[in-house]
Amino acid sequence: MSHLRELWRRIGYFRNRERLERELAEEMQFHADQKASRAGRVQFGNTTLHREDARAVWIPRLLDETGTDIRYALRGLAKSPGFAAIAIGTLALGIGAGTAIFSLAEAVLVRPLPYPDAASLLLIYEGHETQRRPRGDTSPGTYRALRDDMRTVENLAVFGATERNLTGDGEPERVSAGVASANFFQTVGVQPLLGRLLLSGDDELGRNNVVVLTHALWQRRYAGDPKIIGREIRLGEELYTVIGVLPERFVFLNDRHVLWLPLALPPERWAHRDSRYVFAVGRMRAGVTLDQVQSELAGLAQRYRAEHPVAHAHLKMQAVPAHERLAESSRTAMQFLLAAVVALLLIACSNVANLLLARSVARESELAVRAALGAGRGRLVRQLLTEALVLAIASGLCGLGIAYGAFQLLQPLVPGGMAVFTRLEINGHVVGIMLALAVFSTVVSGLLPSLRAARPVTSREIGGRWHETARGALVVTEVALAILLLTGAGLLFRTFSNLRNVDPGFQPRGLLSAQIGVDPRLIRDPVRRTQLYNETLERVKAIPGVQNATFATAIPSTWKGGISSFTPEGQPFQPNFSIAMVRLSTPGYFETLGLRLRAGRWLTADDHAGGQPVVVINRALAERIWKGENPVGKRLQRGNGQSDRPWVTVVGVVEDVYEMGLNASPYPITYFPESQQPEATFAAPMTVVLRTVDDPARYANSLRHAIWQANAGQVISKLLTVEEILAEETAELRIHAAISGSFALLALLLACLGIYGVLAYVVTQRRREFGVRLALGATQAQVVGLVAWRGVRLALMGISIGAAASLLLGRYLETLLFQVKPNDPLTLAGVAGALLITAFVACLVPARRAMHIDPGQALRYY
Amino acid sequence: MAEQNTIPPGTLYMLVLKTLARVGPMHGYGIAQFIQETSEGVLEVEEGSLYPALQRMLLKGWVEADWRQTENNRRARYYTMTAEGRKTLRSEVQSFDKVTRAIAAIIHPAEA
Repeated sequence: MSHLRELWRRIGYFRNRERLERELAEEMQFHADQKASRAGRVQFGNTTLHREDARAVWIPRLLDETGTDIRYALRGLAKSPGFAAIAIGTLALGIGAGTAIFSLAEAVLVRPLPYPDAASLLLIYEGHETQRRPRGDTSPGTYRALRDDMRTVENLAVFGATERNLTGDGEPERVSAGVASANFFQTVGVQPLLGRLLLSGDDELGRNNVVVLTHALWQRRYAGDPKIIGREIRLGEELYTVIGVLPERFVFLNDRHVLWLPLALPPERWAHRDSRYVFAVGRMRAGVTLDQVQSELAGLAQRYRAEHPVAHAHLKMQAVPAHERLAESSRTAMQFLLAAVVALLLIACSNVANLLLARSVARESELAVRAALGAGRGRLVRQLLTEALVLAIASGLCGLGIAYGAFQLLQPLVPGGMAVFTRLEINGHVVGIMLALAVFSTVVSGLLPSLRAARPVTSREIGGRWHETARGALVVTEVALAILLLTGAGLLFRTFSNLRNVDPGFQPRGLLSAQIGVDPRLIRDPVRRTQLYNETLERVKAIPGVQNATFATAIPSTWKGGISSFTPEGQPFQPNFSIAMVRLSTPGYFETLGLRLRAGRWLTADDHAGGQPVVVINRALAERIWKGENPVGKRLQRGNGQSDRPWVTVVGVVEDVYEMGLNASPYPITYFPESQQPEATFAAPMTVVLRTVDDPARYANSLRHAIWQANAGQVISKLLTVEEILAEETAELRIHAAISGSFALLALLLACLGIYGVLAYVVTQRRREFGVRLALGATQAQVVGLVAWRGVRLALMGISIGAAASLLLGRYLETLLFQVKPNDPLTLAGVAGALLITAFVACLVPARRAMHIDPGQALRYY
Repeated sequence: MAEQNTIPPGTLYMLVLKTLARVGPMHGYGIAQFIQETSEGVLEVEEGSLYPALQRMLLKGWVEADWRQTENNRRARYYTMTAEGRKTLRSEVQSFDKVTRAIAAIIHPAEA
């Protein structure tokens, strides 16, 4: 109770501290006067000290002194605005960039996903036993088995993806939809915004025509109609009842889904273990570790392999936390950016440390006076550190502005499945990160100058050598870090340009593509379907300037189209190995896209529905299945070898196309004539591709009209040039290269500034010495050489340390690189050369000044 | 003048409180004077220790302060003991007596 009262009084004291201070002064003045009149003389004493002691009772001394230090620091900065501007500018760049990148990493890698108890949310993947990180889909049968067998995971649900034509209420559109088991939303832990989510019973055939809308679709297409629940909407041929709306920020892995449907399957398909098109998601039981889940899965995989030798041959299963799944694709890149930005910040700090050291020379006398007046060593260190802190906080505030600007640039680096709930913006986290970085910068940049100031005055006078060594070491560090950054950026740039110049296996220039939704009735009627395609193609080809056109399930280099297992004739079926992408097309696909034939022939108009079933395969598939043999004439069958599908003859082999993004190795592909695949469910939507003689973007309108002439009211989407689509593939890398490139250039600039600063100081310090040398007959060239050599020597030391470090650390970059080795000698040599040249230029300016020293002048003013 | 001694640490509060108990409300200078005179010049209270002590006692609520006129018409801050202060004084004096007796018993064994 009394403590509480004391605290209360303290607060009151703090609020009235000015009045109290006055009163205390008056009181003590009264005391002194009384004493004086009694003693008959004026007493001198350190009244200020007494007053400070008394005041210390109510304001903690540290707080009091820190306040004073901050005032000194601000006053000092205001007195040398040039120094302040350069130091704050340099640190602001470092802290700003650091805040931006750290915030990005925090948002993507650390911040939990917005689901309750998000850490326990696991996805279970299937794969081949040789894979280190299997990420394959699973089958409904395997899901059911896992649901019943697993002990470490509960509430196992299953989900997948599909596409539907959404019609009625406005323009028809092709939409991406999630399909999920009835317990999916409970497992994920999401509450509806309106109505209800899927419940058990919704996934029973016959009762499954219900749909849950995402917030985005509800707003966009139904104008946020509050009475949407119970309405019927048309998806393809059927009517679905809207039962609920998801909250605005709900996304699960795939951000393209605009609605969710129940996964309703006939009982026999729930037993299928070898048609994989769904993913399992569940909750790790309380008290269970991820390792326990993995070992249970390993045991189950072994059992399933024995029980189902065909469907589960080579089966491996792995549980992956949902967060990990979303972040894993960007983890390496984030770590690289983090390392790069830390290096940049360290360079900025070294520069500021250098500036502070130079400044402390100018403040020698001020510090000496303070020490003489009784400031202890610790007190001086504290004062100088406070100054560095003031500098860092001011820089941090400017840095927040830089971070805010950078967020626009960085937002695309947030993985798609997180972007909805992970907006980069200035918030408490970001300010916290900024403050942490500011404190870090204070310590790094302020410690060396403060320690120096704390040395006894006498040793400081003769301490010029210590000073030079310290500054030299800082510069070497800077150069080494700059080399690291430049090497990293150089490697990314080479990767980027390699990717731009990579032979994609076809000729994207001049191609225009558009996706058209295909009426499901047509999918089941191959004759009419082929007819429609041919009619459309005729009209498209009639556009002046169009050389060729084709229909296909997808253009190359986009991760689209179905994947199917197949069995080569005379070989055993191997799940997860005998798989290939399935691409259906009309004749003319290869000619239009400019793929290159390696053996055999193209698909032609003769490969019609009634003809001999044929397929063209790519080189990767040929090498996987018929290595060293001629695949032309061999036969394969879709499915696991147990199906009654027709055997198809390989008639040609085409050169590989970079399929899963340019960065990945070629994936096996089978190209079928679409006319011979009557029941292919993934034949919709189809993509029309045309080759034009000049800028393909100009043909967009003509293409639209041609399609509508053939089929009025056709849904058209994604009308883009193929080059635009490919640029999207490299977009993320372009941002990485741009960021690390700008970091590296900044680093180069700062390192050279550092070298310049040290040399300029040396020239000033050794002015008289140079004067003497010149007077005694040294040539100007010798003096220039003396100064420049100093700088070049520092640069060379930094370069060798940096190069060695790059060679050591390069392997961490390996996964980000394409067709360039982390120890690429060309990059390293180029980087070292560039740094040496810029460093040399930075040396020349102070060297020139040394050259022009007038010996008479220099010697006169001692 | 007798040789001056520093006041044993911790006893200054007690001395100030006792002074206030004996003379009533008093300003800082008066307190210092009273202690010095009563101790016949042995104990001199420095401003450097008196005013921090007074501030601390204000914070603890043992004394209260208000501005009054002195007899020669100057403004001075007078300190008054509170009930809390009286309680503190009592316990301080008790423990002081105990300690002094204990010390005396060691230093002058014959008299004990």
